[in-house]
Amino acid sequence: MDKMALFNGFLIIFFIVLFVLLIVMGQTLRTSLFLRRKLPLAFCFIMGVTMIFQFFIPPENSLYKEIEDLSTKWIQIISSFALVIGLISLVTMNFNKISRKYEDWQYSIVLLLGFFITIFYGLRDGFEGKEFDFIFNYMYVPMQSTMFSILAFFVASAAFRAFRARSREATLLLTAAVIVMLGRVELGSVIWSYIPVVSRYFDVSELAQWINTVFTTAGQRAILLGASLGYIAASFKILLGIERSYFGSEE
Amino acid sequence: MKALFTIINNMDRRYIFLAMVIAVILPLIKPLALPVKITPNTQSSFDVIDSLAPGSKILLSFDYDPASSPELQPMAKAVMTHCFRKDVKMIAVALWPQGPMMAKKAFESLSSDPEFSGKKYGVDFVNLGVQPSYVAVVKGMGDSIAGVFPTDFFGNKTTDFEIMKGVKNYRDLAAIFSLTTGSAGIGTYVTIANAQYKTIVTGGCTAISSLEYYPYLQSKQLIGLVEGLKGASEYERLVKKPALATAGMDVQAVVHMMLIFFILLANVSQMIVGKQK
Repeated sequence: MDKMALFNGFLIIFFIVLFVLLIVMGQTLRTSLFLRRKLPLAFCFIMGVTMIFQFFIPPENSLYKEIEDLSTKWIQIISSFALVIGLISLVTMNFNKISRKYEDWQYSIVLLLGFFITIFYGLRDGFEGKEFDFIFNYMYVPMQSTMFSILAFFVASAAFRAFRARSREATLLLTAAVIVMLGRVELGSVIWSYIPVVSRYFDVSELAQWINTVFTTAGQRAILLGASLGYIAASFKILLGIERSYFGSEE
Repeated sequence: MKALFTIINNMDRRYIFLAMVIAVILPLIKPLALPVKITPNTQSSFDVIDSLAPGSKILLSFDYDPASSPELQPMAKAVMTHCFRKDVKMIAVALWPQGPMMAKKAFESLSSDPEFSGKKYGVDFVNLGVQPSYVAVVKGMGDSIAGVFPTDFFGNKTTDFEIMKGVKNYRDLAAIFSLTTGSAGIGTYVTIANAQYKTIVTGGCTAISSLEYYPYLQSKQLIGLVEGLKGASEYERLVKKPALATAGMDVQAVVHMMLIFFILLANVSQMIVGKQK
């Protein structure tokens, strides 16, 4: 039998046994320090180190393939279960909202109707069904596009109210924004060509590109590096059990 | 004068909304037919596909949802048009749940075009669908694409498709083209497929997220980037097939000018009202 399949099998059996034990022995095991703290910490540490480890093994190495295969499958299995938990939580939360008549409970009816109708047609006909296609193309797509396009109106209103040259820094930001906006569209180049002297020496689209590639990229790179270092530090805190907020509020 | 600018300063935002509606509708009724200038990033992305030999296979990743489709769907169609003409085969995957439906829409739209009537699903294009946990998916494809996507979006066995013959993982692909709107997409492919497997990564994204990928462009981990609707219109021009993005650029041009006008108006009115105060 395949080594990896055997390992996966053992792991599945272990989780099933653990789950059954938790149900059967109930409170005793739930209050056990080992199960509540030490075991999850050990899991987190082992899995985390394994995930880091595979980035330092060349893909040609057979060990890489084994770890990679195992981790990919398990991440997908866990993610799928997380999705199911999310769906259950969404449905129960909205059912509660309707039954207890919380504020705006009517919207929950629309949500649940949409949810169950889409699931029904999706399961019945698959992704090629006419009804499913209709829901996606003529309901989901226009609704999402509308939500996103409304942003343009709010951006215009916000720009009018907030984009003011109140300080030196704000003036710089404003100038850069106007140049980039002009440089991103051809109409901007046409208008720019009417500005005397400046237009003779600078092309607005090149100027916009220069602002993006020099100043903005430098800022982006700093953010990327800073965020990555922060991410590494936070990950180590979780792996070493210093950061335990994922255990829940009691910790 | 002061009274006029005080009124402007306190203008009801619904007037701004109305002006925006006019700015959007007018260019659609009467197109401006502005020239399209190709930027180096779009040209580089186009060159990656253009340099591929007929019969090459690429991974086309649909990493967006309908919210970003006004920018990315015309881009996807332009790239697919280019690939079909060059006889480059496309293996479509998605890191976003709605991605496979966007891929399906793009393929259906292009396959109804008489120019591509000979293009077949499973031979020239395949839609492998989506799998949860995008980092694991991108990593997993480095080992086996069919392992991560055992069936296509419609439930057919992946390895049965002609397009999948001889394709195991990234090493059998000529390039990866990701159409990205959020965190899952170009960044993931660059940090995993390019960094670990040395696969050529190129792509397109919404204009708002394009600057996020500039550090990768400068380090040459990302070859070319089609940026937003403007990039899509440039790609349409490069493939000589103006469509939705080209039409949309007229709207974008007028809206940008309108925004600049409002910003300038707000600042002038504040200066005048402020001085007189």
